[in-house]
Amino acid sequence: MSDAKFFQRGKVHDLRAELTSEKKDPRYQLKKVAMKKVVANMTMGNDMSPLYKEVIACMGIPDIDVKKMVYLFLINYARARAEIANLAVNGFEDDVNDPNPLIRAMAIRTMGYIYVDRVIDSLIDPLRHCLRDRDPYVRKTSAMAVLKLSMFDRSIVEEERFLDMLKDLLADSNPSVVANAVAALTEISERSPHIKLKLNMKIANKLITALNECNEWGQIYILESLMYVTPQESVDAETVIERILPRLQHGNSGVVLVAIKVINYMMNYVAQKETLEPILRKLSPPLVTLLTSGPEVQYITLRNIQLLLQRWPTILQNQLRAFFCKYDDPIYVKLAKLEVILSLTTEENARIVLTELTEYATEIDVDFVRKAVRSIGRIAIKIELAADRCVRALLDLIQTKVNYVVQEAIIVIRDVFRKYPNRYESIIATLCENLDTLDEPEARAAMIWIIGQYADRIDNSDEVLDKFLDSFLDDPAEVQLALLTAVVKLFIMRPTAGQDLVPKVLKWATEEVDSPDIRDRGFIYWRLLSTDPEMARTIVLSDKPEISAEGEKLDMSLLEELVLQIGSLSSIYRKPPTAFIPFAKRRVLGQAPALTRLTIAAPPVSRLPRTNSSTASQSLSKQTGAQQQQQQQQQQNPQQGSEPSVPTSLRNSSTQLSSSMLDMGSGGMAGLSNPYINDITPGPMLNNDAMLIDLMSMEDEDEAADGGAAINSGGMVGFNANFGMSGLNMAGLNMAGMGSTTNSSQAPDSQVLNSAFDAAGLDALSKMPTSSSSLPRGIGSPSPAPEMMRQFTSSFDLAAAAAAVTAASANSNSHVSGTGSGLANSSNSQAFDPFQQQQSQVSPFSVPSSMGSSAFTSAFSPTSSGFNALASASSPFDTSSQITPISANPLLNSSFSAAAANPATSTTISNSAAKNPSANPLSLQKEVDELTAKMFNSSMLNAYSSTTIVTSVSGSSSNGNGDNNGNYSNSGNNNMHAGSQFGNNSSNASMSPAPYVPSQKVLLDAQQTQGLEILGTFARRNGKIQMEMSFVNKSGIAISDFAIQFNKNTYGLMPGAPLSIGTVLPMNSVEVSLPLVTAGPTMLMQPLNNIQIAIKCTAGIFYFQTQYSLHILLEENAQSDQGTFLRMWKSTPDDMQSAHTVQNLRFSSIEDVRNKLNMNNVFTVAQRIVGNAMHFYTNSKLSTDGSLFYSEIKIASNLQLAVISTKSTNTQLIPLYQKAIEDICTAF
Amino acid sequence: MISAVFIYNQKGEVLISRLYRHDVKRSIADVFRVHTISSPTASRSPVTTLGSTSFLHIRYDNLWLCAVCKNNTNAALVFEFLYRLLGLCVSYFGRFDEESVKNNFVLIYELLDEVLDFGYPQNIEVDTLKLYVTTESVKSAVEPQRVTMQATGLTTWRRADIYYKKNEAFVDVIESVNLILSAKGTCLRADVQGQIVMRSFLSGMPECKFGLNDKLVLDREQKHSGAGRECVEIADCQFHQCVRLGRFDTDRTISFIPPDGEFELMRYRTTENVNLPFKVLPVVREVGKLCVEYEVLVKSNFSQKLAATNMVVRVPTPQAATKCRIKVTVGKAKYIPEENMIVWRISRFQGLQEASLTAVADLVHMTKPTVWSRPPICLDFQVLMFTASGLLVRFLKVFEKSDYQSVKWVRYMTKAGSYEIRI
Repeated sequence: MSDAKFFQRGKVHDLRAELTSEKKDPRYQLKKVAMKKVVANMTMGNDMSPLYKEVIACMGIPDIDVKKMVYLFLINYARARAEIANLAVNGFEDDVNDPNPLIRAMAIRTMGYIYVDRVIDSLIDPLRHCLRDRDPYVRKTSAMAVLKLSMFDRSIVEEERFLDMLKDLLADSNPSVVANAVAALTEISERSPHIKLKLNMKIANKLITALNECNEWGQIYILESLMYVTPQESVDAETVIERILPRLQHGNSGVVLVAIKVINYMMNYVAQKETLEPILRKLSPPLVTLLTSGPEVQYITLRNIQLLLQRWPTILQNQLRAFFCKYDDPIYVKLAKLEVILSLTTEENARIVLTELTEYATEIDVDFVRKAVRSIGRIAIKIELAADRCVRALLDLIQTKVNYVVQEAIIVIRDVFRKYPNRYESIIATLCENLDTLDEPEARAAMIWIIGQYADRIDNSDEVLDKFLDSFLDDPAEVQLALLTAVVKLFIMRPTAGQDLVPKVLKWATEEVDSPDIRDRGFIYWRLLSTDPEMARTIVLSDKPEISAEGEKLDMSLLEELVLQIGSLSSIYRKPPTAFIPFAKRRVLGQAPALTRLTIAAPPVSRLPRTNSSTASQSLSKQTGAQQQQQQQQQQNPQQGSEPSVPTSLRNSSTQLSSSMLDMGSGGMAGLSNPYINDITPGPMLNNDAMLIDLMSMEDEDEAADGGAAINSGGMVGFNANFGMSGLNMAGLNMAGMGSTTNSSQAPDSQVLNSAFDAAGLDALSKMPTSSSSLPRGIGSPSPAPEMMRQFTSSFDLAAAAAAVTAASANSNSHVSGTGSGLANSSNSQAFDPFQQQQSQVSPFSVPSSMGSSAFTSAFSPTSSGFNALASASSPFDTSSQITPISANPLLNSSFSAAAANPATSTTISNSAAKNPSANPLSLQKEVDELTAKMFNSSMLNAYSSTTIVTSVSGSSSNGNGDNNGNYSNSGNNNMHAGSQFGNNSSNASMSPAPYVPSQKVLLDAQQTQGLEILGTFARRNGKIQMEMSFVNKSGIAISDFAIQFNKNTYGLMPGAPLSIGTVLPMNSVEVSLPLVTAGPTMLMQPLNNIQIAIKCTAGIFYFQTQYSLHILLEENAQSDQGTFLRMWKSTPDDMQSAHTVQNLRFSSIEDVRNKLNMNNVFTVAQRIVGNAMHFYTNSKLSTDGSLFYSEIKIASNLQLAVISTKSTNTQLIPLYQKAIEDICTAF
Repeated sequence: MISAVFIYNQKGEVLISRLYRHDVKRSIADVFRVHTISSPTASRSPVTTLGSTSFLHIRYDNLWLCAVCKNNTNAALVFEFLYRLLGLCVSYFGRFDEESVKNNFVLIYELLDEVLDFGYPQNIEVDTLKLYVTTESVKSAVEPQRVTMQATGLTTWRRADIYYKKNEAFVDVIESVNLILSAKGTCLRADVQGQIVMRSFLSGMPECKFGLNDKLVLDREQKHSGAGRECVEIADCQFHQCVRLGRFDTDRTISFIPPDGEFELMRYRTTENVNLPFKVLPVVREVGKLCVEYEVLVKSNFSQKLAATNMVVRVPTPQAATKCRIKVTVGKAKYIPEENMIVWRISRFQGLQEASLTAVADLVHMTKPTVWSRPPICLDFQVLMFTASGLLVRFLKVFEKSDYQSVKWVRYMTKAGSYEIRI
């Protein structure tokens, strides 16, 4: 009997004829054949739904085969066409009352599949009967039908008390019924937001008793439900474990894995380690046995073993050989086995493992081979005793000359070099034989790193690098970064060999390459080399942070969650189910007095101790103990007064930090090449070795500073969030850490530290400050600024200005410079200001060019290029004549002129002189001498700048004597922040809410205005818009007769009062708060919040433009109610919506979010918690034209990341509005 | 749980499509075809997740069985279900291929409706299902109530009314030896996976007890009897669901009511004291670039009274090999170029014997020299009445109300699992 003949396309009308044929068909054979054709066509995807009338007519045929086919047809088509289902209702009603239990059950089962109102309605009553049917088969089918019903409409199940009936079924005499009822209850609670399944020990015991009588699937459902038992006492957990241990012998791998899951869950509640050990011993054999199942189950088992091994490092000891790969294992099994092998490798068995891995490295599958080679490298790093043998094995593999093996081997050897410096350099020669075969970026980068690192030991390193340089511009960024660093190392180690290469590569890096990372690094090197080669040497060639093999470890909380998901997809992907299942609930360990979370430590010999922060800091402290001492001294210095503190200590520490940063792209990325995190999908927490280590070095600093104030994870999060940023930003970050270190000596509060991290963690690309922002402040502050920092700072800004650096680098400038001032201002808390300034600046970088062409050009320097204009605008201490040639083409100056850096130095000196009138003139002079001497010694000084130095020194010392103090801008700062939340840096820097006021930025700088510098910002206080400005007179003569005029702008902002400033004396500053009104003439500006302002005074008329944050236009008391919000949200079309992601929020609590937003007239209508996020629904109203904004702000539970979706009828304004919210959210 | 089950043929055409939940549509079948079946990296993972939809598949004889899930399902359960479904089809139609699926598609739909309810596997016992999911030729005359009791009852795997004139039980102990021997001759891994397959033709509801020379059991007994006997240390074992696990856990008794006919009673694993039935001493030399020389010596390592049958030794050759000159002392050897190996067949290999193969493979000169990955030599064989683990059945007792006499037969067989000798 063959049905295959039905597998051909049938025409609907032919089939209809067959179904309705009047031929004699006493045994319904013809009908059956016709139905088979229909079902076959359905399977092939042909639409058979037009036949529904005829098919339903067959429902009455008393033949069970025909009936089953009709049911199948109904399940397939009824949903799409409700009328089909409606016709069938009568047939169903007959069937649910059929005396045959099989038919009753089938009807109930089928009706549950058909999600059509009428069918569901007519299901409810029979279902209630069937749940109490005397036949267990009907009851178990009905239990499932309840679940189906709840998926259709949850409320029906609750209203009709089906849940209670399900609960009653838990006590049913038939184990199959119990199992299905349990399964249904479990899933209903998984999907329902408000039903939570909780089983007590009594029910649990009953269920476990039923286990013995269930079929295998029922056992799985019951075991699964035991996850909803929270044992209150240790003995409860032990009982459960004991009673389900026999399940480990079950032949169904599903049962075994779910039993392991329950046992693992219960083990968290066991009080005594002694109880755990025998249990653990019993877990190993079943796991190994599962490896004899089908390959798919093997794969699942292996993935889970990885999790269990991390949770219980002692299981599966001595089982290593069971994981050796068979030749014909499927590739996924092989790869998973390899991971387990690596985890099980210890000092004792490293040799066997190595032999095995070497064997794998000759197999055919490329992925497998690569992973095997990489594993050898990991073992070298993980087990020091095996390192020699690993390196030998790798060398042997390189000798095979198989292309991908060689490349992979070189990548891991790079890591080995990192881990064990000065041990295996003898093999470099062998490596160098294979230069030509390297075509993959990672391998090339690794090789280049090696050459750079050992440039002094490789005779022809310059030739080799030169060869690599041939394709520099075509190489991917990874290789370019490596080349850049390597060439610089070469130059530092062997100046003669590198002197031809360095200018070439620096020029390419800074001018030809698009990647901001590379340009930034290029600039750093360039400045470093041109400023102080000795310094460059210490920075570039400093010790690298150690790398470890711990990167493969999962985060502990994630691990805990995943162990509760053993056997599931989530355990395979190593992702919490919430990451890929929309409705999934998190599974956590229920709180109970018995919750112990015991762990059993790994045997000490078999594993390296985890390199945690304390060990890292210890090891570091050995290296840099001297530095720390210096730092501690330096911590105290700021307290003693604003004396210029010992700059060397900072220099050293920055050396250390920046070196790790500079090398990050090559050697430092060792952690990134870690293949063990997750090779299927990216792991949720790609914790990077190098990153962590970097963080540790910061921590270390922190400990040195305030005697062990612990960093909390907030800082870590900020750090991780920043992961994708360029090395430069990391520099910013590191230095920010240092800045806060200084602060914390006064207020040792980890929060301060965190916020510093967060500040540094600003997303580089989302914010584009004009590079001028931080400089004036750095200058203005009465600071003992360590000159190293200062040089960095100012040279950076010059660099930025000079070669049209992109936003990213400009941003990192601000980071660095911000830190500079942070270090400087340890006495008055302005460490964070620059960040804030930078947030307030919204002008995108395209603006300068438009500015250049605008009417305001005249206000700027006469250079034609927009960027140059900006450059000069942003360098208040430069005369334009000085800056222009440098910025025009700094690299033409192939002898690495220090010119660019010199102005910076000069500023430093003048600063320290000017700001410290009380300082001992002798020591001051001494420092200046030192500096000058250094400059001269560096032999790259050009005459130009030396004059600058001399003049500024003399000028400033005279100033210092003449004026009482030079901290004009400092007083300004204090005033400016008088009303704001960060008036001091005490431990509650976590802010009390106040309206958001962007910090003042430079509107006009002293160069364009013959010495008048204007800083300003816009604020809204008590419903009034204000422009708060500081006028700083840097010229020699008094300036007076101020007047201000606004050009027409989008919202008609204009001064509400004349500018009432009298005379500003030389070297003095005046603060003014100018009330603004929105009654002026309007004109559409681009961007909309742009505003052009003219200021007239005795020094002349100055024009400038700036942008305000939109929040100053938001109306008070505009809060709408939820109803309005919902109505407006729904009525606003989606195309008027836009979403925006904000990182690095600065909130201390959810409360804080609300307050801050409210304070700035972004009113919270409602808030709710959705999964891990807090959703705020907010509205705002523009006071000028009444535009309404409705937003949904989702804030992640760590208060770090927000997604703002905004709807408004005024779509043009949405970006500005969101930007304003972002600024509010990220401000301190 | 499982939202849909599809069966595809080799080309990716849907042969069977059954949706269980409304969170997927029929069109999801195409997604799997596009992403997995037609993808060159098809077999890189048995689990594919796209968005929130997961596809778990197994392959069998050019067919793809795929289960679609929308939640964080128990993956092991899904695969076990798919294996079981496959077994079910095989026992219904004798085989499982495209033709048999097409021939029986209505029946498969009926089975799928029965074995999965809303994606939850229900009873998949062939014996019970055959009572009420029937092919047309076999009509079941059993009363529905009996069927339902059977399908939900305590022993879903057995009907109560079985009667045999002659009550017999056959026990097959089948062991697969897995070996990985390194090129230097050290044993990297040797273990035995044993299977005890029982064919029971017993009337009524027989209560069986089964005993092995398992070390744990014997240890306990020795305390009483003091007799020293050969015993085997079983690393781990798993049982058919008919075995009462609770009993086994407390006193290591294997007691059960067997299903009718053939079933796998238990699976076990031993890693200690494995008697390897064959020793292989290979010498493989790459002479220059144009020639590989082989000397493979195979020794049998079991009693002279026994013999291995269907022995096959597969000796790999490089891809560049053009021809092979082979000499063997026993059996026949042939070079099979498409598989890159020499296949040496020995129909009967007596215990404590030796056989050798010498061969020279000539290689063609390749423009681009590739390194030969040197796959292992693989052995295939069967040895009757020999167990590599040393396991023996000590007793099988059958108790039944009617107290009939039963005849029991035991057979032992050792075969090659993955018996690999690296070269």
